[in-house]
Amino acid sequence: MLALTIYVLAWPVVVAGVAFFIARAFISEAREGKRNGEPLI
Amino acid sequence: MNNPETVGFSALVIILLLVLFYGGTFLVSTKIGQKNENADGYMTAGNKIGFGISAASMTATWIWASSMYASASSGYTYGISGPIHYGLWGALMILFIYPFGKRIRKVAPKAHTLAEVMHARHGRSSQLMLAGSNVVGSVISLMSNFIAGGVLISMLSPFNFIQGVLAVAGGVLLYTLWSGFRASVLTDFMQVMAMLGAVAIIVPFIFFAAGFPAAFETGAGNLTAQQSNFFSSDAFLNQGAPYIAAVLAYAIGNQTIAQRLFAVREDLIKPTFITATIGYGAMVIGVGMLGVLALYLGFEPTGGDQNNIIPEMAMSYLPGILLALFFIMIIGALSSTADSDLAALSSIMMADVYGQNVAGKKKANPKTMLLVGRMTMIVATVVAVCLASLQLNILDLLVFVGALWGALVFPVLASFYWKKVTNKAFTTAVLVALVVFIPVRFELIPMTGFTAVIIELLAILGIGIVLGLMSFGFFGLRVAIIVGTMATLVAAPFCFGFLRDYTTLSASLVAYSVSTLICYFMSFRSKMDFDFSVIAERAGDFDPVEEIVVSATKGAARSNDSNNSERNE
Repeated sequence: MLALTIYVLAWPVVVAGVAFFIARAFISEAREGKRNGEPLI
Repeated sequence: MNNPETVGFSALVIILLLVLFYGGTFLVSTKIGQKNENADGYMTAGNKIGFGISAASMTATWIWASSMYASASSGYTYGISGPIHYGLWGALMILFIYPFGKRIRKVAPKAHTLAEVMHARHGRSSQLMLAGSNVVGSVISLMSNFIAGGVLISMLSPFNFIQGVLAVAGGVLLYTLWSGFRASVLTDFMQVMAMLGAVAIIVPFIFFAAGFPAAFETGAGNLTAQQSNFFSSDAFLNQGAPYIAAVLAYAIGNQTIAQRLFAVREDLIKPTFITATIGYGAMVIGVGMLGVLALYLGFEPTGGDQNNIIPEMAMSYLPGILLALFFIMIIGALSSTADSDLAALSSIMMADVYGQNVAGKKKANPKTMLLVGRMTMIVATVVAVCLASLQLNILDLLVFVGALWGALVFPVLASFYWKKVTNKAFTTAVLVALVVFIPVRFELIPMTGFTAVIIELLAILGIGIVLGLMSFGFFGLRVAIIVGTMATLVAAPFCFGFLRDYTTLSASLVAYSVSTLICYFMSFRSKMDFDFSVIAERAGDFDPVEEIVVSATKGAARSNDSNNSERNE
């Protein structure tokens, strides 16, 4: 039961990690773009 | 078991949620809108997108509403390993494509579509075959996302299916039409954040609200032995294996992926693809777990339609505010793919049809190209809405198109590495593979006796070719030949007399093997000695250099103005 619980709930944890990683990269690139006077896209 | 009571939304709440979502994305898209967009920016955003946006966009594009529904359906049908056999293979395909992506980008750094590169490599017939298959795939994908939106809105609110389809189609077109691909990738970031955030909250919430982990014990009797087995052969043979064969083809045949490949900064291709692999896999498998939970609960989707599992689980166990988040998650998933499809279709019509074949590369007018791109988006939306109203079986169509693309994989990839591949070999290989694929896929020929043995032989070769191609990208030709040969030899004793019962899988594999064999045997003696360096010259920017510089300068000025005004505030 514990193994199944971990199996089901591990995925949302990984998803949260990926969201954090992408958001951090986006914010850092947006700041860098502002500093250099370049558009984000 | 009796399903719990479900909740929905009033018309006003749905309208507010749609206005919030599409209004928000539209506002964001206006921030990057330029009065005079340039054609190359409209198609690939200048080939220099950063990691944050590109990883978000690649993830968002690969995830669509159908992938979530299908993963849950796989969990419900095949048990605990079901979502893995949907999500893991799909995710790994993103990973397996990236070495090819690096090569494609090296050969054609400024291209807009794969078909455009095929024009530079081979000529018109190869280009139009690839472009045609891209168009069919994107229209089907667009239609299926509109259908998913219509079904969801009609399920959660008093609005009917057609009203839901029109709301989604209008919303997506609203924010994509003016800035094209640039709007698509920027809004993908917001959409993927909403999707990932929603999964991180909703799946654990439903898990506990539905009485898990205790329900794992009380509901264990609802699972068969195969469904309880993590190494279920049923799940692998019926779900995983056909998907492995189809998804490699998806990555090659789908212009939405190629477009992002050409848009991201070249040194960021690897981290972008790796992040998208993990993001896609975790998200789709995570949502698929709702299907596994439904199976343990003995949950019965309305009308036996497994596409209802996710919405009905959400309506049964989520409170209003989280149901709204769920609604945004699904709308975000389908909109991010739909806007990518619109951008892909417009690029194909701009670069492949108008740019290369109507006006010609040197005479193409960037302003006319933009008009062509925008008109394409409007026409494609109207066509997809009309097709959506027919409510065709989406998954059948997709499996068909995915397998169809299998015929293109080897000829396309070989064209980027092997100097001897000719236009004649490419075209013949694809056409003959299709001629063999269709009767096998639709069981128009009896799968018995000698015919079945030949089909199985080709399918077994197809297994070796798929695995060989995957290995080739990472490890080169020698390892690919060893892996391909070993896979064929190992599979042969198990597959003769067996594959004939799995025509979907066999047909996909046959498409791979026939196109590979013909392309190889028509090319290996050819005297063609293609110079890959000419592709970069033939498939480059359409806008004049000065216009691109002016456009970039305006963007920078706009950014500076924005900085200054923020500082002043």
